[in-house]
Amino acid sequence: MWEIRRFPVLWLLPALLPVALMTLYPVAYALWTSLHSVMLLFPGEPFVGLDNYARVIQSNYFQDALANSLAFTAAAAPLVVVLGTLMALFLRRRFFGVQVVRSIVLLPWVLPGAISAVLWIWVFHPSFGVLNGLLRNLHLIEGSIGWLTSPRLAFVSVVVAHVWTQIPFTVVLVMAALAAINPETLEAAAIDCKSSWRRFWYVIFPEIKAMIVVLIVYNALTAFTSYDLVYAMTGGGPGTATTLLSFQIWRESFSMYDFGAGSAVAFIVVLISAVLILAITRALPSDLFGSE
Amino acid sequence: MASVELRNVTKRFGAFTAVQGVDLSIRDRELVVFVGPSGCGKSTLLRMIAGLESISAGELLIGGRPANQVAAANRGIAMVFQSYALYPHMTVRENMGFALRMLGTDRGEIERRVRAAAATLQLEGLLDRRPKELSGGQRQRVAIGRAITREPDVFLFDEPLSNLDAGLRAQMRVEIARLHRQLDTTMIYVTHDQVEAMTLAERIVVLNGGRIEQQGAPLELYERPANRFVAGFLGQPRMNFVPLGGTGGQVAPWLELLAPPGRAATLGVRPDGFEIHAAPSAGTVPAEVVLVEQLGNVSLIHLRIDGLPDLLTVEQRDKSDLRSGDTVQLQPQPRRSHVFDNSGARIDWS
Repeated sequence: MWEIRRFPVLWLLPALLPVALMTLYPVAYALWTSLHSVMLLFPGEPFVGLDNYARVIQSNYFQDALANSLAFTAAAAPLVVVLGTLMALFLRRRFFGVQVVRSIVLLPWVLPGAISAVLWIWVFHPSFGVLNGLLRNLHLIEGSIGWLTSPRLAFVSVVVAHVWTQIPFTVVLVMAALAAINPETLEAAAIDCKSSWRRFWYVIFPEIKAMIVVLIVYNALTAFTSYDLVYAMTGGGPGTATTLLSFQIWRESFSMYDFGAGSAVAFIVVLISAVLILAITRALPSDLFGSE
Repeated sequence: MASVELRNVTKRFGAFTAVQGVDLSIRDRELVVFVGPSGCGKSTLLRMIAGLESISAGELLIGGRPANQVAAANRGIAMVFQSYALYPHMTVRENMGFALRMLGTDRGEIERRVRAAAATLQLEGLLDRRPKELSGGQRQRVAIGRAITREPDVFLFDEPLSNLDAGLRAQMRVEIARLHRQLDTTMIYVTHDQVEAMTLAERIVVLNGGRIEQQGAPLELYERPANRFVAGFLGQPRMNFVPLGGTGGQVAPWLELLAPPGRAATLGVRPDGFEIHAAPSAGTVPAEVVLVEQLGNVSLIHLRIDGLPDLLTVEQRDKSDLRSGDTVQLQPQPRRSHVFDNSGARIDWS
């Protein structure tokens, strides 16, 4: 009588309970909050319908943050995937010290976002930064460049830092996909194709493209919801130059104490993320995952 | 079509030497089989010819031209791999035409050559399938077809039949032999299976420990093995080896019969080189039947001679009436006996 098929829900409960508690409840609570006026400074939590959403969408802050987040995603996700794939291809080669190089490439993975941010602040620091020092020593500049104080450069700087932190994961997954290719297939390609570019494009890429798509989706989501690194590097500034949507969630909730509005932004982020995933997967050929 | 010449070719992997100073000349249109046990360097040698492995020392010439520094794609070779190595995302047609497409051959010509190869290998109905929709035998045929469409100067086969079952292996063996006659091209074939080597080769090169032990026509190697290793490697069931040691000990009557030179250390007799008698006579040694394997057309009789470390295997035509525990009188046929010295080298005598 204790067969598994008799009480499927019962057997799944130990796994479902934490999921419900840790994920479904907060999401449901956030949805509830986004439909109510929840402000720490005012008593009561009256139902306001979609007012929070309307208010948030009309604000300039939100519109800037949305534009920044979309630009950040469009710049960072493809960069991470392209650079990560190139590195994975490079690290598959046999050369002296490859193990050491592999470890170094994976290093950003073990650093928490805030630590990476501190590291990059030192790289981009106008007076003591490594980058300005290097450019000065090469006599390419005389004064100093305000990498994190000029709006446009600050945006580029946070993209660079974000790409750096995300590359290791992409490298590992692409290397795993490459390792799954039959080595004799690669040798057959070496006999059939004269250039290594053709070998990659016609033989290797078709074998790893499913993984590449997964990585594009993953990196788009990571970039779109990025928070800690950017917050620690620029605090969203200068002005709103590096304010991303997730930063906006934090600002509405914990700076303005308007949890209703914060939750509304959060739900808009979820919605846009879903649209992003759908758009990316739809835009790609349907036989990617071998379902032909 | 091209000749292949190896001059003192060596391959080292760090401190390990996989191939040591191999000299070998393969004639245009010849089918040569490299055979040897695992780790003997036969695949490494083939991969050096293919350009998939660099050459540590020595010289390789394909069609008379130095090829050491020529990239694999420019050597005019085609290779059939053990795992077939088909491109999984391409159809059979695309797989077979891929190399030509990479060479910039026009579409009409590619289609013509693919169709011709498909007809030769009975693959016409499978051209639009992908590799995963094919059986092992079909995949191997596609791999061969892919090599044929290139019309290479030299075909290289790296244990192409190892992944097939016994029946299919025998069938594909015949097909490859037929293909060699039809294409009339230089072929180099690597296998650890001595039956494949014996049946396919015009010339067999036996390798061991990265060196060539002996090369020659299959029957020449079978009948006059240069040393104990070649004698033991070729032939199924393998040759019986009897240590002689001075007066010959238990098998002294055989020494009187065969009268080999005094430096003979080991006697080698193939399983079909013994005569079994019921009664003792000059030159016979008593042996006890341990096991009889009835294979239908032949019987394999395993015998023990007191004082010898290993059982002897004797092959008899047809069914055998012998049973375990019987005692028989065993005598080697002088013409089919080989003797080897202490170093394992063949001693010619008669």
